[in-house]
Amino acid sequence: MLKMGFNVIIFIMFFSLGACASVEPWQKDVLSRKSMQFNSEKVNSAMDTHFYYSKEGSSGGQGFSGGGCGCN
Amino acid sequence: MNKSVPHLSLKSALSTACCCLLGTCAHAESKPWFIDLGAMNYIEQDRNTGIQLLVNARRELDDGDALSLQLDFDVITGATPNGASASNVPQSFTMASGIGEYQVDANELPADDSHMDSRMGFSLLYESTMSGNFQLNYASHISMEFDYLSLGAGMEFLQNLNQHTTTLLGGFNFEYNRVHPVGGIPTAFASMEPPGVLQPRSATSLARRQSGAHIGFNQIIDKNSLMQIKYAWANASGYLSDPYKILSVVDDINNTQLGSTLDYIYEGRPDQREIQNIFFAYKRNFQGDVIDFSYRYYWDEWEINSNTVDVKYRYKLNHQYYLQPHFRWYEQSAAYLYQHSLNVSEPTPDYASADFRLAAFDAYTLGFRYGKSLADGREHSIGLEYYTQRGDSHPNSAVGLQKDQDLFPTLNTLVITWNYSYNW
Repeated sequence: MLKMGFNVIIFIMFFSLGACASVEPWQKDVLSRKSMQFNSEKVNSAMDTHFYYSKEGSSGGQGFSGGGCGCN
Repeated sequence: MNKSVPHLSLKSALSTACCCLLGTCAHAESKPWFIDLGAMNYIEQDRNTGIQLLVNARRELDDGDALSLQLDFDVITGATPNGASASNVPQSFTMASGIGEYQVDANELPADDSHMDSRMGFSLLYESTMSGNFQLNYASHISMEFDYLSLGAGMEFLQNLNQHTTTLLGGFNFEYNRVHPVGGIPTAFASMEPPGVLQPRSATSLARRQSGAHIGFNQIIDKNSLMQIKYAWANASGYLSDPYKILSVVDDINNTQLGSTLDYIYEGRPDQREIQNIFFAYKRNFQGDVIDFSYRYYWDEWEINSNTVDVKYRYKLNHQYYLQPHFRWYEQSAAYLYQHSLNVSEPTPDYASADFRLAAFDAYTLGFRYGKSLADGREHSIGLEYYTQRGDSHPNSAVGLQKDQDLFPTLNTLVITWNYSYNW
């Protein structure tokens, strides 16, 4: 399972990096849109994270803090 | 004759001119805060109902720094599984306070239907731009429940490279939690006593600590797509058990009553848990539509491994409205300490828990969000999702009468969310 997870990540990473093209600052109009930002739905994402944290045995990945709840 | 000329610095004059040309002058000066409001209502079939309210306020400061404040409140009420197995006869359980009791019908999932909990949290994030290419973020939070306190702080750096096409990031965080459950901390593997009798307690409260670090990068792939990769490590220590969870001890000796419940004992988990995960996210624009894909692989010292795939597609209906279908798939393996119940003939293990969250299961989320972008940056959206969690209802380890019971009842949840953001 662990090996599979690593393999998936490494495959996607090299596939994506291999496709990187030079992007000049004046070509970043699309990338600067709110919808193209990581965590663009900050509040919804925070609520989802708390919801899943209380229902599943694993968490993390996006934020840099724990759940902050007892979640019994 | 001297005429009075208003003094204007070159910098402020240029700023004013630029702002007014862009048409954002009044807006930027009079509405410096970006307010993001959210609400979630989730309804679990035959179990809990919860409400979350969240307010996030972000303000960009004059020197390029930004301050974010977040206030959240949530309340949960209903029936929460207590860890005991369903039985062919009615069951009685002592409440956490040790004073009263609650009954569960035969063949029903044992759950404490008097469960009610509320939480209030406050967090602060300060984004400090040290130079054009380097940023430091400082974060802290406090969260309070009547039986739980959590304090945390963290720091993150972001370094831009290659004309802002690559951003390296990394950080660390610490968290201190205090668990002070109703009735005190139960002694692991001690029997639940009848109401009114002194319950086995080892302390009134105990600490739980967590420290973590992460490292990763964001990469612009082309003018329409970008990706993120992060690796995170954390170590939790201290009291990691759930003070309200118990296990059934069943008879696996007497052939006439195989699988019947003989006792209820409090669970016990290790006081250490090392956690790691790798997270990958990818976003791509397709002529105004946006696909948002992420994958997380997680593994920990308790032998839980999980895979999470999350896909959202923001479909632009017109210049104002969008529809965003969402699919999430999650699967985890069981923690080595998970047991749906204990057999009376076997020695008490070092650690055991019947918490479904530590069992092996698959979970799916399917839903959509419908949103509208309004004038002057306002946005309004509503979401509707269905979440289901399925595990092994009839494991091979079930004994006698347990084979007729559902030892992992499916969890079905309806989730409704609302979001409104505006400049203020």
